[in-house]
Amino acid sequence: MKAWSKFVTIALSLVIIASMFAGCSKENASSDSNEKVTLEYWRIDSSDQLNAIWKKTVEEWNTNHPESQINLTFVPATEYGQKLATAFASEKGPDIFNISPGEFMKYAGTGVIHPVDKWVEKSKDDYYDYALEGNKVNGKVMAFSQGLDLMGLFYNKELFEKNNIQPPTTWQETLDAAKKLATDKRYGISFTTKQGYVQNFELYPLFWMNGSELIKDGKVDVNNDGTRKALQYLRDLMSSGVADKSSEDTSIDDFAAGNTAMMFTGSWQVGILKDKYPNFKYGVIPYPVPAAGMKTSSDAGGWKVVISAKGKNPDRAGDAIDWMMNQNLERNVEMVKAASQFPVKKSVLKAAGNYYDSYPFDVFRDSILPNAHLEPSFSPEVVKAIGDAIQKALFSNTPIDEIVKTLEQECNKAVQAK
Amino acid sequence: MKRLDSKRKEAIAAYLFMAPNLLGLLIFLIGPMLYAFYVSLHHWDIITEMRWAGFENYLNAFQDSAWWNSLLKTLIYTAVFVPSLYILSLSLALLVHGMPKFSGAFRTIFFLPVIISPAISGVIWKYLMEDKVGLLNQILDFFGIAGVPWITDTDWALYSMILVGLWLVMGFYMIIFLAGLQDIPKEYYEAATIDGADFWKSFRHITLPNLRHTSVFVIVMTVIGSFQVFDQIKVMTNGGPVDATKLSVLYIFDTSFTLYNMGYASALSFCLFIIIILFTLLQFKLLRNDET
Repeated sequence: MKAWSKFVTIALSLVIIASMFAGCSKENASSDSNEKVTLEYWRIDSSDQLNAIWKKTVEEWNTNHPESQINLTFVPATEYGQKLATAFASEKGPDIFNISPGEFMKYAGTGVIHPVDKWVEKSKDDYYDYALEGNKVNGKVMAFSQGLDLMGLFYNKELFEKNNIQPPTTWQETLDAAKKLATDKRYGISFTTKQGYVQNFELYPLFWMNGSELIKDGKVDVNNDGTRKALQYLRDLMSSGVADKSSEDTSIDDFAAGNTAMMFTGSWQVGILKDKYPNFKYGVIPYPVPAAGMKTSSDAGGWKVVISAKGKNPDRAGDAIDWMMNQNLERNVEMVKAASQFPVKKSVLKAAGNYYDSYPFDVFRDSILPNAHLEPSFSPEVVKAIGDAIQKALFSNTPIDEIVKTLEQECNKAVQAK
Repeated sequence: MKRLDSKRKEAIAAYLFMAPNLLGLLIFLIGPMLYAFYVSLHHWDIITEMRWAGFENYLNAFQDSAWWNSLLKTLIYTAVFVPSLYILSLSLALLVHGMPKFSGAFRTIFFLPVIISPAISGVIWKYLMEDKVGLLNQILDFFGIAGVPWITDTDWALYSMILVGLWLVMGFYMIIFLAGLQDIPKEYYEAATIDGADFWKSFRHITLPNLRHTSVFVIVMTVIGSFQVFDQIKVMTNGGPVDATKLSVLYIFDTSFTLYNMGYASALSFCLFIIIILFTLLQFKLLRNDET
């Protein structure tokens, strides 16, 4: 027994000591200007073209800057959020990374991101105001951005023409069109039904069009008719049976295959549709309005690039990203085109020439962009609360008033906790 | 003196053989568990520093109605899953045991789902259970039966998850029961037949009693398994619709990786751990007590 208990004591102490070291932080590498440093750059795995342009750009930088080497990694979309969080948890976060507006506040609001004012200062007049505002936290610019993703209503042109239906302009027309076109093998309309910031991103305009900002400048404004109308419309769409009950952003394949007649989705699909389904005829219109005469709206998102304040050398990282994203007009145009996005800088829009004249980009540029509303950067608790409300509206029988009351409570809780 | 020496040597040898495994368990299981307990005593959003919380997270868990809801769903899942799995896998084992000619083929077919990762099976079943074009509803349609909202209806979703769960592991427990069945001497059945017993009498008085140890193993393992069910549900419904399938582990996952509330999630994990231990101890007491 003595040998056994001795063994156990020693082993346990070793384990406990080892676990304590797991929590220790590593010493930061010195920022000696001549020391070679390798910076980790994580990007979300996107379209082949966009990935290829970034690979080329990083190679160019690496060839000309042996002292600041960048290691570019593409991470699948489904794992991105978790991989990023766990990397930071174990102090192995990347030096430079992509971030969605939905997750931006999570990192920007907690001091993990290094401000980028000094690089953006010189070209700040070139940016559209709202684009720069969306990257600011407490007055400091915290992210580099390239382009905007815009939401619209995509519809199957052939189906509409065959059934003699006009593209809808109001919510009622949309519901009617969906009912006419739904069959037992086809849905009338689809949008992301899985809870998360993507679903919120697609559906925010329904709230905005009725004047409900949900949360603005830290103030909760949820208990209003706008919220109720939006939730009721979602419930009408789903309960009528014409909406796909389990659809995701990746269901663009379903849309192109004719399994759904309409889809709320974004400008990034234009490139994907051109690549995968070049012969598929589809149209794009702005989000239909709640009632005739009202103004349409659209969500303007777009992933940003940020510098980690905990990285090996934030200064060099900033230099690199600035060079790659802001100092070559031709390349900037290429990047925005490859992402099917709309540029945030006036010079890039000009340099793109008549690229945005082609259909459906002209619809986005002329009818959707002017009415665009930046994607809000809500905290995860608020994103969840809004998502819960949407889920209940779509899939339960809870009265709308009750849903709105709970939403208000949860938003208040989340805002006060800050 | 000589006997003591050799016994001591044997003991040391035994400990040395166990050491790598034990060390592995300590470093990769006990160590992280201790760390998780440490985290559960803090507030932590992964990105900023940890803040001391004492037992606040555990107190919050008591008052968290969403947590209790997830536990309730887990209990319902377990209450339906465990007996169903028991009956299903035992029936399959009896079937395979009674048909030695085809047993090889059947064993392979029923065991195949076990070797597919639950996540991949989840993706496939998600397509099979799709409302309009899923294969299941198309088959029902062929027989003139209305389609079922397998995973899009708040009432059906949980039971669809149970179905998928059964499909995933019935082969594994069939093998366990088969081993148990093969251990029962044929003479018992022959003697019973001579005495005029039919299938049910033999089953009740010979098969079941001799499967006692196997049954305890199966029940304990499936209860633990259903308390920890996650992969296929995450992939198929992600806890929806409207939290209909938000079982405990899914709730913990959301708390940690959607809301970045690591301290609270760790506390919930420990609560679940204790609940599972209590259930297991209870089962041991109930199922093994009347062993004379």
